[in-house]
Parts: sequence; structure tokens; C-alpha cells
Amino acid sequence: MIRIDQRSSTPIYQQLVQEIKEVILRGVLQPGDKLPSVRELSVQLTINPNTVQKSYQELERQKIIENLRGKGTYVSTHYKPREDTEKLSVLRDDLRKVLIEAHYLGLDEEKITEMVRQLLEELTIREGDR
Amino acid sequence: MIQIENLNKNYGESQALQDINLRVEQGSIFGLVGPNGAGKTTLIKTIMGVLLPSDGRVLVDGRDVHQDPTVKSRVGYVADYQNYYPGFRVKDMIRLYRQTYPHWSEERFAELSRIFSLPEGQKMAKLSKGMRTQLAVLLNLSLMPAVLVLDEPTSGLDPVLRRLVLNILVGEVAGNGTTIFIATHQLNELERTCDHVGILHEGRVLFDESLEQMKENIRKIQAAFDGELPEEFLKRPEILKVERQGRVYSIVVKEKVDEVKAELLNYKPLLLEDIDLSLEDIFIYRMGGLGYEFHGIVA
Repeated sequence: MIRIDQRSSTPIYQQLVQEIKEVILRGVLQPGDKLPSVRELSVQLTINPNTVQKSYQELERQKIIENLRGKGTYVSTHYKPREDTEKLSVLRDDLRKVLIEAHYLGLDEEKITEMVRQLLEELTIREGDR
Repeated sequence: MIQIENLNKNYGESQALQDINLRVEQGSIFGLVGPNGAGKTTLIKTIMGVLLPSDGRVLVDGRDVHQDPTVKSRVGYVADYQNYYPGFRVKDMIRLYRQTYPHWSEERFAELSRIFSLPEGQKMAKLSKGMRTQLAVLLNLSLMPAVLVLDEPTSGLDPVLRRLVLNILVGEVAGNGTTIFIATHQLNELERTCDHVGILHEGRVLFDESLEQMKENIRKIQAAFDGELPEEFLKRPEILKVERQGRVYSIVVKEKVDEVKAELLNYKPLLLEDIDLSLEDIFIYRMGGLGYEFHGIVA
């Protein structure tokens, strides 16, 4: 399920954070499910274990997964999206960049909105889901 | 952990290694690349204690490998060519390692023997290069190394075995906290597996950075314009390389990437996008910039 593109300019640990978030969002991993160990995932993907560790730490910091001492790492059962102004402003900047790119690709407002709607559907984020 | 301090190695008049300082943390993977003849094998043989340094020292887990050779009982070495006694059979090599290395683990050996199926009765002279490499990996992981040094470990292996060996290596780091030092020409392998990468060029280590830093610090931007970009913009020191085909500029930027992009937007591009750079591209661009940046990088 998890794919890593080593050529991408996005660091591998960030790609992994993103991929795991997506797997959880799609319900492939659900709250309370156990994640593979650092060793398992690094061997499975042939990536550096410290990179996997760093991704897990980041996901833990964001309270998306939790590490139960001696038992392993699990998808959080009590994750609540919370407002994080700093993160929001980064997200806003990222969106801005994407919109600039979209503009230069010749997309108008209608096409962009349609694309966003489709993506939200794909990711099954609908109102009332969370 | 491996610490290399002010290491110099001369062969007569010629300096093979010059002022090398490196530190490889425990449980991490360091990738060393460099053109042929850069001194990689000399460096590795010096780390292994096979060659004496002309100056400086090499510490493994805090102990000097040239003063205190017992530390080598926990150092595994997979050479680029396995010079095993040709008359020995595979089982003789196994016995030799088992008797030589005090921390040899039968459990680890049994586990790895199931993965690599090696003909125990075969003579070394009859083993293919790939077989010898597999045997070397098997033996050197079974001695339970604290530090594992590999010189071109995947050359001569088919893609399946190559992936298998890399998986075993990352598993070794994750499971046992082994420190790995790997010299290779296979940049695409380093990209996924290394924490840090260094480049050896004419006996000096030029960059020693984490892969993340390396990728963050250099980008390629492709942008198309109706007119031309002003010369003085293209002469910015951050811009390593500019190629132009018709309206499209490909610009390689080192540092201040966002600043350069913001400025490019002022020239109203028809299109502006980031192109991913592989580690190989990064090395080629950075080596290309060496002529005028040499001193800056070393300092």
C-alpha cells in the first residue's frame, strides 16, 4: 500500500508520513490497528530504519499513532483533528503554490473546484465523517 | 560507531588520503561514493586496520583499530572481491569464521543460511562472484558485528539478490543497531538506505551531509517565458547551471530555492515547476561546480 519515490525532492520520511496518513484516512489501517514495526517496514520498503523511526515519531507527535511501550505502535483511537495555527498557515502556503501552478496549467476556478471535489471524494472525507 | 580523525595515507610521494574526518553514528548507514581511483578502497582498508595510516587514527566504538586490534572481532568486512583460499570449501570457510570470531552466533547463521542457499561442499575457486558475495555477507553478519564495512557489496548480484542483500542490511541496523559503512557506485541504492552520504574525490571527503539536507539544498526548476531572463538574474551565485531550449529554462539552484522561485514569478512565467533530482543528478551538478567552489566546500 505504501509507495516511496526515492527520486522525489520530498524527503523519504515526509513521504512516509504522508503515505501512512493516507492509508489511515482510507481506512486500510483503522484506529486500534497495529502498525508494522520499524524493522518490518524498513525491510519491506528497503529504506533506512532511522527514516522509518523519524516518520513514526512525527506521526506520534501529531497524535495520529501511539506507541504502547513494549507492545508496538498503533493507530490512535482518540485522534481528534485540532486547529494548529502554524500548520494551517503552512497548509495555506502550500495550497497557494498549488493554485499558482494550477493557474499556469490553465485551470480556471471551476475546474479547480471540481478537482478538489473529486479528490475529497476519493479520500472519502465528507462532512460528518469526523 | 566509527570515528575517523585527521586521517592521511601516503604511498611514497603520492597522497592517497588527505585530512579525512568522518563520524558514523551507531545504528546508522553511511554511504561513500566517489570516482574510481578516489581512494575508497584505501580508506576502507585503513578503517579495517589492514593498512596503517600515515597520520591520524580510526576509532571503532571508541577504540583505535591500529592500537587495539581486538576491537576487530566485532567488525565485519565484505570486500569488493572475496579473496578466500581457493582450496577451501564453503564449510571450511564457515568453520574458520566460527572459530575465529568470539561472538559468532549459530542462531544468526542458521537464519541467514535459510535465505542464502550455499553449497557447503563446493570449493571456493568454483564459486561465482555472486556466490562469494553471498557467502561473505552470511559470514560477516553471523559474527554479530558492531560495525559492518562493505566495499561494492551489490556489484555482480542480480536485481533480486541485490534487493535481498539491501533488505538484510537495513534489517540488521533496525534489529541489532549495527553501524554500516558502505562504498558503492550504485547511487540509487544509497538513496533509500543511507542516513549520510559522503563523496571522496582525489583523497578528500567533499561533502558529508544527510540525504535530506542534500535534497533540500539543491533543486531544479523548469520555467518557460515569452521573453528572455535578464543576464544579471542568471548570474546569481545560487544558480549552478542554466540550460535553455526555446522558451524553456532549466535552472539548477543551490540554496535559497524559494527566493529564486519567488523572483522567477516576477518575470511572469508561462509555466513554472520543480523537477525532481536524483542523487546521481545532485552529485553530477555538485561535482560540476567543483572548479570554483572547491575551497568553499572543504572549509
